[in-house]
Amino acid sequence: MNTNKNIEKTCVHGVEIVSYLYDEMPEPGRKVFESHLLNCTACTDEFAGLSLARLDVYEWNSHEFAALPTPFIAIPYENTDQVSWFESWFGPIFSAPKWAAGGVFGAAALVFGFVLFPSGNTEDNISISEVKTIQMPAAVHDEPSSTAVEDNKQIAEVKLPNLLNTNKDKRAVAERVRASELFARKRKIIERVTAVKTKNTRPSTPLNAPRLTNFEDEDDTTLRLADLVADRNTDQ
Amino acid sequence: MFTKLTDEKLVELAVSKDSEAFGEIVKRWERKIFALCFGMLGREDEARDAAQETFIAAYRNLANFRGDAKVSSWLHRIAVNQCLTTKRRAKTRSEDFLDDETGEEDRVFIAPSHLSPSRTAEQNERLFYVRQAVTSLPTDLRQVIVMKEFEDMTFQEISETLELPLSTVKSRVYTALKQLRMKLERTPLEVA
Repeated sequence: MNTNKNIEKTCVHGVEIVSYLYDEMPEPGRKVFESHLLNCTACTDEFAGLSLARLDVYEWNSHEFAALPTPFIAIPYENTDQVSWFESWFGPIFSAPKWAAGGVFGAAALVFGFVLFPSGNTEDNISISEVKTIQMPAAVHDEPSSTAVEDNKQIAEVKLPNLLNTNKDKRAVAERVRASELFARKRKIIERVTAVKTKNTRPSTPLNAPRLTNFEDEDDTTLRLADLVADRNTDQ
Repeated sequence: MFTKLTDEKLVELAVSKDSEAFGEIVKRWERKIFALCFGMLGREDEARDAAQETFIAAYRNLANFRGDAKVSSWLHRIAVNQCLTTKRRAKTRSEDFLDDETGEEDRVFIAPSHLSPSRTAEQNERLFYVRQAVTSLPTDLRQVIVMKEFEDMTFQEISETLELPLSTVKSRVYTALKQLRMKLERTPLEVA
């Protein structure tokens, strides 16, 4: 009894039951499964349940579908062109609603734009924080003159053919030129920012207008409420 | 002329605008595809339209047919997609026929003549619940049970057609039957 219960708990014969149900179980396995089915009530119940479900579907098929005639399939060959690979790939976009097609094209344009202009690192939108992180090469003067960039460019142009034979040297000079350019840009930006700050801190009132501090040193002879209160307290 | 050719050879001929070759493919597969559509959709009119659309779509996309897949796999895939599209359209139109009993009057069941009217009515009701239970199964389970019962395919054929392992097909049929049993146990007829 206990043995039977153990068999029932651990019995996982779903796939075998289905093969047996549809009579697609090979002969050696069939004998083994049939002998198991005789001893295992769980598998017997499972088999009965699946058989009933199968019978229902079989009846639906035989009572309803089997009686139906096969429909006449008409292919309008003249009006039905075979689609090319282009149409099969992009056809859904063209046949989609306008808003969906618009969305797809918009997304494609965005991706295309990001591919073409990946960094957007132009002079106008370069940020100060970005410039600060640049490591200046040791050879570049800390505060180059306004013509430092031009000088470096000239050095690169004039001396490159003679002195810089290796790629490493060329790369080093190119880096220096680039660093100088960035430094010059940084200077411009700092100047621009400083100018803006100076402009913002400048007083909006004319320079000759009277200021509040002008009256600081003058004696205040007006009667004050605090003095009156103090006098009253003294009297009391 | 075409009867001895394989499906793949017929497709090759059909790609080169041989309509008769494609006609042979239609002739070979129309009943099975109709059965699949009927089992998937549960309605004759919808199944007929879906089968028609399947073959038209297959003809239009002949150039895209991969030679490494079987024609039967390709046609079944198109048919299942067509059935899903049909169901989706029906849902969009709020005409989900699973809950729609208005079309039941038009449905003709051929019952054995020896059955009494009450027995026939009971059987028709039973078939209605079975159809409802099958069409409410998940697509992957419904597909295998329909291929097994309506197309009368072996597990091996289903496995090759769906390009799935044999064990997966058997497991799906088992799960489908088990779910059907559970659904049908809850029907009023079973309770009565």
